[in-house]
Parts: sequence; C-alpha cells; structure tokens
Amino acid sequence: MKSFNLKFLIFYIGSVVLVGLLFSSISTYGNNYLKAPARISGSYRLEAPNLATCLQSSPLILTIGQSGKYLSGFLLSSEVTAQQSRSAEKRPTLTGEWEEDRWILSGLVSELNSCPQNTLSIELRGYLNEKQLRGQLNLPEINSKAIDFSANKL
Amino acid sequence: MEIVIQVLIQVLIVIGLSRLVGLGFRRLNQPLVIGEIVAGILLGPSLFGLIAPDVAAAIFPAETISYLNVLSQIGLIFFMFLIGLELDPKYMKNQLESALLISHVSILVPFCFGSLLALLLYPLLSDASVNFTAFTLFLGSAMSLTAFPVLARIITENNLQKSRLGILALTSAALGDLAAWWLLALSIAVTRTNSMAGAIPTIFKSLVYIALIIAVGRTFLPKLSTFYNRTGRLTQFLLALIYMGVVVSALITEWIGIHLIFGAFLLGVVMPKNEGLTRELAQKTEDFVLTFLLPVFFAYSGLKTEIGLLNRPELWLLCVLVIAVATIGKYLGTFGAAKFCGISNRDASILGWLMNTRGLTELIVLNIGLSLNVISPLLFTMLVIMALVTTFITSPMLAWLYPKQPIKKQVLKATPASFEPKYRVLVPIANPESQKGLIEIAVALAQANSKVQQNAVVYPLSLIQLEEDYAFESTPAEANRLIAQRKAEIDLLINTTEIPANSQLIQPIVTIANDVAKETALIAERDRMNLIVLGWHRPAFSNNRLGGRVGQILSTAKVDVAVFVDRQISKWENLLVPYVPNIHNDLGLELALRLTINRQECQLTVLRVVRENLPTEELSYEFKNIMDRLPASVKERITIANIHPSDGIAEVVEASRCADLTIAGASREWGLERQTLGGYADELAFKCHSSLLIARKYSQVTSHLSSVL
Repeated sequence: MKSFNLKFLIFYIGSVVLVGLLFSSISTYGNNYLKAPARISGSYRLEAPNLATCLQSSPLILTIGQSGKYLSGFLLSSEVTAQQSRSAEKRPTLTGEWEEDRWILSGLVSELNSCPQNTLSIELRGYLNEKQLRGQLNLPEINSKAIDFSANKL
Repeated sequence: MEIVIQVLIQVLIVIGLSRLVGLGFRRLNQPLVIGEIVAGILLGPSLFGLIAPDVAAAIFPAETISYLNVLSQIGLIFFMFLIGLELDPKYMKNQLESALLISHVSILVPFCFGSLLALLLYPLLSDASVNFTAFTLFLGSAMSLTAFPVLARIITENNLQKSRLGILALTSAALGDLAAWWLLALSIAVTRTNSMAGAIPTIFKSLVYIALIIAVGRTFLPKLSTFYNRTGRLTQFLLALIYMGVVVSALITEWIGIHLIFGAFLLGVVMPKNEGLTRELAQKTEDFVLTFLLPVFFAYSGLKTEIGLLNRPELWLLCVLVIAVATIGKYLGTFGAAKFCGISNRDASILGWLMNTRGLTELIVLNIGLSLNVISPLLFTMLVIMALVTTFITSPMLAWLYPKQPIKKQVLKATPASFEPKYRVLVPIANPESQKGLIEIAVALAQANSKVQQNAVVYPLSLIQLEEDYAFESTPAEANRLIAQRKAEIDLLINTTEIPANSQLIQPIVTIANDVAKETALIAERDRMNLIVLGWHRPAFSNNRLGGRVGQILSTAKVDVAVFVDRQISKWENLLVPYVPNIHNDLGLELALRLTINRQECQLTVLRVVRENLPTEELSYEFKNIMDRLPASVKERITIANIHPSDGIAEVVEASRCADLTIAGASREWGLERQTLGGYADELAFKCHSSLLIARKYSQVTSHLSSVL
C-alpha cells in the first residue's frame, strides 16, 4: 500500500509539475511571439466624398463583427428602420478577413432606398488607424473606379 | 410593445421549444440538456435568424436581450447553488486515491492539449486586445471540463450508480468538477487583470473567502440543520434566508473578481448535507430554476451561437480539430490514469467516454468567456458544437462498450446456477398499492397451486422514470433511495397476496428507466420472458383505455402480452373464453388452459362463434392437438358452447355474469383490435361483468402450455 502511495504521489506531482512547466513555456512563447489581429469590431460612420449621389442622401453605417482574423458585417443607411437594422444583425451580408495589417470585406449592401438598385455588390479594403478606418471601396455596378473612404468609430 | 410583454413572449417560446426538442432527444436516448441546447441554437441566428431574419428580429429585438441575460444569470446562480448542494462529500469518499488521480489527470491532459491548440487558434480566432495567457487558460479550461450533473444522470439512468465503475466515474467527476471550477476562476481572474501577476490579489481574496465560507459552514450552517430537524419542514422564512445567503455569496465572489456563480456554488457545497433539508431545498428550488430559468439561459446562449460564421471549409476543419483535441485529450487523460490505477482496458475506456460529457457546464464556461471577450463568437460557436458532440457521443459509446446485461443478472439476488425457469412472466407494476390482483393473476398463470414444481418465475417490474436531467431525484444517492423505497412497497404488495411461500417464484425487479414502455419491452425481449401481464389504466390525455404506456407496450413488445382488467374478484374458478380462430384468441385459450391445468378448482367454458352459411367454426388445428393431449382430469372441466356472431359481444357480456375471469383475444369480434386495441377497445372491457384478461399474441412459436403438459 505504501509503495502504491509513493508511486501515486510521484505520478501526481510529476503530472502537475509537467503541466505547469508546459503551460508556462507555452504562455511565454505565445505572449512574446504570437500576434493576433487588431480589434476592429464595432460600428463606423462611413465618409466617402466621391460616392454616387444616391448613396450620399444619408450617412452610411458600417458595422463589423470580428472573430480573430475573420470578419463579418453589414453596411446600412442610417435612415433604415430599427427593424431593418435588427434583421441585418441577424444575417450579416459582408464577410472578410484581416490580411497582414490590412482588412478586406466584400458582399452585398442592401436597403438602398434612394438608389435605382436596392442591392449592390461591394468590396471594402483598408487599414485600421487607431479608431479610424481608411481605405478604398468598390461598387462595380455604380462606379468603375475605387473610391477612397474613411470611417470613424461611433 | 412593452418590454415585459416581449420578454414574456420570448420566455413562452423558449420554454415550449426547449421542452419539445428536449423530448425529441430523450427519445434518441440522449440527455435532455442536448435538446435544450439545440433548441436555444435553433432560436438564434443559426436557424431562425437565418431563415426568417425579420421575424427573428421582431421576436428577439436587441433591446430585450439584456433582460433575457438577467433572467439567465439568476437561473445560473441558483443552478450553481443546486450543483454545489447536490455535490455530496460521500461521492468523494469512494476509491478516493484512484478517483483523485483520474480526475486531475483527466483535467491536466486535455488542458495541455488545449494550451497547445491555443498556439494555433490565438492568431486566427482571437484579437490583440485578448491576453494570450488568459486565452490559453480559457481554452484549456473549456477542453478539460466534465459536466457532473449530466454524467450523474447518465450513470443513474444506466443503473451504474452502485457499480465500481459508476462510483469511480462519479467520484472522479465530482473531484474534477471542483478542480475545473477553480481553473475557471483562475482564468477569469487572469482575464480581468490581463496578467498572471495581476491575478494574485484576486486569488488571495478568493482563498480567504473560501476559508471564511467553510468556517461559516462549520459553525453557523449546522444550526439550519438542527432547526430543520426540529420543525420537520423548510419554512418560507428559512428558505428566504438561504436564498439571501446565495445572493450575498454570489455578490461577494463577483466583487472579489471571479464570478457570481462561484459564490452560489460555494454556499451550496458548504450547506449541511442533511438528507431531508437537502431534498426539500433542492425540490423547492429546482422546479422553477430548471423549467423556467435554465431554458432562458440556453436560449440566451443559442442567440449568441452563430453557426453561419463557420462559412469556410478551413473553419469547419478547425472546428473538427477542436472537437478532436477535446475528445482525445479527455479520453487519453482518463484512460491513462485509469490504467495506472490498475483498471481494465474496457472500464478505463468507458471512464474515458463518460468523462467526456461536457453538456451544460461547458456552456456556462463558454458564456463567461464570451461575455469577457476572451473568446470570440466564432470560437464560442466551435466550442458549443464541441460540447454538443462530446455529450452526444457519451450515451452511444457507453451502450456500445457496456451493453446492458439481462436485468436478472444486474438487479436480482443470486439464484442457483442450475435454476433456469421454463416459464417467465413479467408484470410491470406502476402503482404497488393497487395492483394486488395483477400479481395474483400472474402467479396463477405461472405456477400450479399444487406442490408440483414447474420452474416458473414471476418478475414484478417496477421502473422509476426520472423526469429532469439535473433534478435532485436524478442524483445517484436519491435514485438509490427511490429504488429502496419502491422495493419496500413491492415487497409489501407481495406479502399481502396469498402466494405460496416460494423464494424463487417471485423475483421483483426495481430499477431506473429513461422510458418505461420502451424499457419494459426491452427487458421482456432481452430476458426472454414468455408473457407480459399488464394492468390497464385510462391515460390522462386520451379516451383510449388501452392507450398510454399500456398501448406503447402492446405495440412495441416482442413478447405475448395480456392486459388485465381487475374487477376485484380474487377467486378464478369459472373461466370464460370467447373464441374465433385467430392468433390472439388462440393465446387467450392457451392462457385459459394453463390456468385450468394449474388450478384444479377451475371450470373453463369456451364460447365458440358459429357463423351461418359457413362450416361450423372449429378450434384451430393446433388446439385440437392440444385438447387431445390434455389429461382427462382437465378435459372434464372444459365446456364448449356455441354462440352466433350477430351479437357476439352481447352474448359474451351476458355469459360473463357467471364467470370470474373472461379471457379474450385482442380481436375485432370482441371490440378489441390488435393494432392499438384502440377504437373499440372499451366495448368488452367496459361491459364485461367479470375480470377480463385481453391477450395479444406476438410470437407464433411460443407455447404457454409446453411447460405444464
């Protein structure tokens, strides 16, 4: 019985020490060498002077959801109803990801009541500068060229 | 619409759906918790929000979600109090050395695996605002949990709570639960302070509080037990005091910097384990918490689970990796430690799967992680799927590795190896107080009242169906108490009957079952019963007297069944058998002949239906043979009379005035149809003046007479 206790104790303490060492090594390595993407999630007011007139009738709000490098979101006019906004939250229309220090989001922008088309495809690329997003957006159905934009966090 | 109305409508939908889906999963032999988690996910963006975003947004608007959160947090606090309350120290005393090793190694190995996985997942699924150490601690904790309440339920449901394996699993899970909660507390402390060093004051305060609450538990709380013993009941005043204590303790741990749930859990752990007090407190608390508040917690979790985020093959691959690491880590840790303790391969493997049950506990940890932003929505979704998968596989793996043995071997007292009964009657007993006649008819069918030894056995079967996954009655100790109580009731019932003293004739079986009808049919088949004799009852929600569980057993049992309608006539001297040749009437006649042979005082009248313009109906060929083989002493007690089919039932009813027991096949002629014994089932059963035995034949080859002829 005594030998079993000793064996048990050695095994038990050995396991705990081993796990402690492994955890501290992993923790040190991770904290020093692993880099996660910057936090970008939130709502931003989009400003782009060269946007088509129909898109300038009311401010556009870009909402980004983030899970690490993977992004999702939606772009809505600030004039949409609360119900439309809630529906968009349930089913984001943009997907994208962080690539190095730049992010990309593409998909559809809908509920554009002032434009001839209610839904447009869109691609946004940019970088994060503290609480501001800067970059270019493409709306192939309206503009042939990319348009510069900036967006401030709400 | 006012917010309170909106929240109440949400709660209505949540409770309804979680019950519905939960019941569906119960039918798949899965814990209710899986159904409840799935119901929550269905209500969220993964399904409801995906197919009808406008409706989902209208029913679950963002401004009401915080109210759901408050309800779910209150539910969680009291649920954790219940977990602590039901964590009886006696679960931690058995095979302590092995259990301690198994529980801790089964946490350490998946924790290591989780930490290694963090190296891959952190750059992909986390962001720079999250401290890597906190992320790793959380992921490791999520990988290493075992849900004690769900595990206890699975063990109880499989009647393993008294086996060495079951006790070891329970003890390991109980000890592991304590360790895992403190690992989680450490993770929260590190997350909130963003470093290991910063968490030291929180850890110190936590230790001080633990010491304090243990001191309170040792000095003040036993007085609660004394007070309860004196009053004999849990008064509302005392209940209010205890609930206030739960809230105060929860607030203190939140203030310390860990989480509300730990305070509630700690108070539950240090509560005096007075059996009566614990039972009454648990029963009073759990009804509202488990049926109302906990489904809200599942719905709240489901609303945040977005399976749609897994929108790339690589993310599904990561999800599979998370599941694999969690499962393999837990399995290997448990298996290795169990082998080190000298446990066999099979038992070590079973333990490995049992300890993989994560269920609700995992969901609690994940919600805390998500609320602290230490895990992202995508990782949250992956870990919810992992919790579902690992809990889901436990029951099938257990069934595969530990197939159920015939119930006779599991629960009956040892009988001599040479004793192999030739005739077995299973008698499901729902209410021991009112089924004396049922036992007596089964005994009369099984055994002669002379001293001839026939090697027949009657098995009164009482199955205890547990209601909720985490209810107090599901705890192994309480289940054992319920079994002992029911066993005593059955013994009392047997003692009140006039049954010849024969230790082997009646062998009661009392055990836990998930589904009474299904388990009865299973036991009958597995234990090679010749006949099931059931009492009848009227189901609460149907007019069909042979519906409900009786109907289910009639439809599913792969054994001949007889349903007994008791008119409180204890002597069976005059038997009546209405007869038209078909398999069910043949069974009725067989049973009547068996009774006639067993009891020399029995007189049997066979009412044979004679149709006009058709050859005279005869007994079937097989029965003519049997009648030929009957001894003269039996033959002379049998009378065969003819009746006309025009009003067969009326004639049978009239004849039953002179009978003590009528035995009819489940056939249309008597208004007793085979399929459900449904539409016309009442006819003869309702009008018959004598007791009635309705026979339903399943097996064409079973003979109920071979053992007596």
